[in-house]
Amino acid sequence: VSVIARNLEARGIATVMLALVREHVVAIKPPRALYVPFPFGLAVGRPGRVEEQRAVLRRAFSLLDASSGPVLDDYPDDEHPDDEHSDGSPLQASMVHSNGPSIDLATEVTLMRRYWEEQWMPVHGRTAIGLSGVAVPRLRAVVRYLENYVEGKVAAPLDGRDDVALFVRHCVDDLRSLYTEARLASHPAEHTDDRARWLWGDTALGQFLPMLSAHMASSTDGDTRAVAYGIAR
Amino acid sequence: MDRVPQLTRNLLLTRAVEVNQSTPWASAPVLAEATVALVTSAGVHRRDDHPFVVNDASYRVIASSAEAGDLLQSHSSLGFDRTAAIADINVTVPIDRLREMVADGTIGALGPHHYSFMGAQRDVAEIRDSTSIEVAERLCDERVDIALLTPT
Repeated sequence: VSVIARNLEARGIATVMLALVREHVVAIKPPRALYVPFPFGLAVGRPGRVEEQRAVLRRAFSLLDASSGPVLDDYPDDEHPDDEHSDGSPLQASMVHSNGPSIDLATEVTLMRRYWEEQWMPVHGRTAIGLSGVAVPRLRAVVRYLENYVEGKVAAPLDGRDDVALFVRHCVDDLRSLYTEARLASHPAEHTDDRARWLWGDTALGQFLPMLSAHMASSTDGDTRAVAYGIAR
Repeated sequence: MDRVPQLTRNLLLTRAVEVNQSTPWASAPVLAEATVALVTSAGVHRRDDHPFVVNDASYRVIASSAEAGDLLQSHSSLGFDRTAAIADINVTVPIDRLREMVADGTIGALGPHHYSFMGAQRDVAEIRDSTSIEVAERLCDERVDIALLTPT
């Protein structure tokens, strides 16, 4: 966002940005940046920590008081939100030993859907599911689609779009969101690393996604190979 | 950054980024009287909008009145934990916090729209030379004084 900040500022809009990679800010020199020593994905603070998020934003906006720049401020390191979050990047599939799932993927998806319907939606009323365009009650059809895809039986996307690789990616994102929301509802205080160990080590989805990724990575199509990298590694 | 795995750190720190000697500077009005908009590289967009694709230089327009449930994130990277944003979109796109700051008088007003780009870009040339300039012009048209930018 540093390069965007410079363009906005050059057109008369004062900018203040949060930064997660200090070295890039030092090089690119956006007008006003607050370096936050937080994990990627948490620039404003931990989920649900309203006061912490407000404190970060107040400090960022306070940089507008400077009369010249560039201004690079450092948020205090002792307040970095790492207690229930990974210190760095999330655990990936290849870093977790798989215990083998106890049920098949379609049955597991139905089970997750039940947690999601009974425990996530009534409390939160919103969902990160929706990229595939396939409604939650039809996610079993998504599972069948993906299982066929891995076996080489490529069909048109269920959402009416024509990009198969992108549809596969969005199906995976929706399934992961379903599992994440179901798990957040049933294990709200779980450490993010433990949640990753559960997904990759204990679930049928965690077994399936590396297979799907490997299948896509062996494709002759560059776009399909690019999508593979974002599915599991 | 010292807590990021070596592989990710090497990838980020060896990425070619432009090195600038100077910085553009616009004077900021008093925050309590200013119109503020959010610009993010979190790859979020309206539920009914087109998802981002890998290395997508385009941007999405989000009404500043949008609620968390109106938004989806189609970010391509596995390098961050999406659980946090699923639990609370404000961790990276602080839409609720900004509305609260307007309500308590800290911020004058919000512009009509927030703007979203895809993060984890390998080549920012098109964003730098084209799409972010478009967004800057839109923000000027919308009489926005101050932009808050957030990364993933």
